Amino acid sequence: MKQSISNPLQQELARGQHGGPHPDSDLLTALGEGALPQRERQQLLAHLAACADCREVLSIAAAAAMDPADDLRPFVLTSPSRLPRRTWLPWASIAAGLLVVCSAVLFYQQKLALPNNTTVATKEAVQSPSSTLQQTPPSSSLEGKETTDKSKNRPTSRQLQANLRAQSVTAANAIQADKIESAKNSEFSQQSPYQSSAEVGQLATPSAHALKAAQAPSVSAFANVTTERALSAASITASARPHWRINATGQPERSFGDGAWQAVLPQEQSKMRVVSVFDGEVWIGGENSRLYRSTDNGATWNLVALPDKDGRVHSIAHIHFLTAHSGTVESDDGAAWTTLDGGSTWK
Amino acid sequence: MLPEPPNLAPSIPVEDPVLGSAVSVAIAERYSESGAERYGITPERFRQIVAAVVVRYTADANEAERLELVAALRVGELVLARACSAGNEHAWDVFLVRFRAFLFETAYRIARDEATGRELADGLYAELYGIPNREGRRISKLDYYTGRGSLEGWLRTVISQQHVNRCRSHAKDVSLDEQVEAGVSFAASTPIAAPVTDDRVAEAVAQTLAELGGEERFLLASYFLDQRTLANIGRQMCVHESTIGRKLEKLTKELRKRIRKRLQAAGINSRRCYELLLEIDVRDLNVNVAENLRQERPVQSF
Repeated sequence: MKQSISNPLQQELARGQHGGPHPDSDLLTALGEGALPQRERQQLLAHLAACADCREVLSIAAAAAMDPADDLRPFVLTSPSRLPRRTWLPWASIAAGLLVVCSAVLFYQQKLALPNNTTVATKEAVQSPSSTLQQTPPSSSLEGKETTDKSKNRPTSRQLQANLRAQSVTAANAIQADKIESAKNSEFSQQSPYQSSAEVGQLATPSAHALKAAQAPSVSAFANVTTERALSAASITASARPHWRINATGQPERSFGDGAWQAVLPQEQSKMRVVSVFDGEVWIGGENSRLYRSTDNGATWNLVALPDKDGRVHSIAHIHFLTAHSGTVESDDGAAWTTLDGGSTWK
Repeated sequence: MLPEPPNLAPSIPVEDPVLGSAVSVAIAERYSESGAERYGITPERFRQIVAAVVVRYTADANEAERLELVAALRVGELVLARACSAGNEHAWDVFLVRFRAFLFETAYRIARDEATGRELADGLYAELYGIPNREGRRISKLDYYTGRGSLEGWLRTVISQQHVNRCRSHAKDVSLDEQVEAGVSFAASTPIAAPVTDDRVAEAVAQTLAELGGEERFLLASYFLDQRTLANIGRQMCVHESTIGRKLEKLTKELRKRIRKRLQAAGINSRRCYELLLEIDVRDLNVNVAENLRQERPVQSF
């Protein structure tokens, strides 16, 4: 407790003398689980308002209640004493860091050792019609060829360095060529302002080739395959699981990851406010006490009738399920309905 | 130590309660669902167990409320607890599989310390198994479970209760040597400045708080006095934290309005009211609210 009083112990003891009989643990539990009828709930809350002891117990128990996500975490019964320490965590993080660094180094080396891309790059650089590219020293292409031949076998670090050097020379030449061409272009434009853009385009083409040639080795076949697989996997996942949203007009919409959103309750006039997905079931709530449920990812919907509270129409603001059976629906004015049978009955 | 609830041990002969026929039928209907026969509990014994709970909680209630209670009871866990208490081995196997890991995990979560958590869990485990009383009869703490909430939640609450009791009993044991070493004995005590408020404001606050219902007072006490978080209060009341936030906002606005009305009724003009309420912004009312909420009132038993 965070009370700013001089002697909390004395205060607690003093309260205990006047607090009256305390409710049993079962009632406190039932309050926290929303399983108490209204009359008993009011009586219990009246006691709690005056009893710091019970408030403290209830608060500690509520704080210790596991999150639903925690329930999924397996608990090792055989060695409970080892769980809380988590001394492995720093070592695990260091190991993970090392793994990432090693993977990056290996990947980079693999990228450098790829023969085809290097060959293409140097060939393109050699075959390009630009005069500036003809200035490219033949040694670079030879080096590139050498690299190609040797890279059929396992490349040594020296070969890798040579490879790197060749690429950097190619790139440097390409950039230099660009500079010269841009200077030429500016000369052309200065000399003959009516020069057609086609000519400029022809002049610009080699530099694009050069840049492409310089950039080519950075794209590996492995990366392409990985990307394709990732994209196909993502598309499969996206198509399997619908996405949900409430649009600006309060209409619930569904998408299968293709960017197209379709209204799922087009006939509904009331504005929807909340959509909740739990354990394969989709719940949508909104104004006029509307609560819809779908068990087939939104193909069909059932309007759930909530019992009347205070004779008023409520606007549903929250839907949350603790388990597949136990859930709560709350409106923005504080009214709440609970179910203990997976949504069949509400009270 | 918190007083323990009265014993509901099944071995104590339960007087045949005067239940309506509808309630008896409702109890009988839940027998198969409870799985009591797996633990060797007969329908008659099951009826006695459930009837004891119904009589305990709905002594003055009508038949509809009794039926509602019978329908809401967690009979499966109730018979498991009673069977464990009676020493049924199969029941203990089921109990251990379902709750032993949970018991240790929860004790650790509450105590935030491995050794204390282990101690708490072991202590409770012994009490659940049963401690012989003066007559040599083994009394299990599971007899106190009545099936109103889940058995898991009940275990969590019981551990929380034991943790609070343990903290209080240990708080009395203060080592003077350690305090001297820590320099505590040389520290000057900091005087707590009593809030200086207008008597009329204090009276208005007291009267307004006295008018509030149990739930509203509980919210105020939890938030302003105990300084619990909205999420924690929400978990205690099984509602979302934003609902608690809205309720508190509404409540503080209402409090402010009522206090202003009382101050105006006491002859204070609007401007002065405004100034006084500015001085005691309702978010800073924790001092005053706390003082009033601390005034204990006799609580009716139920």
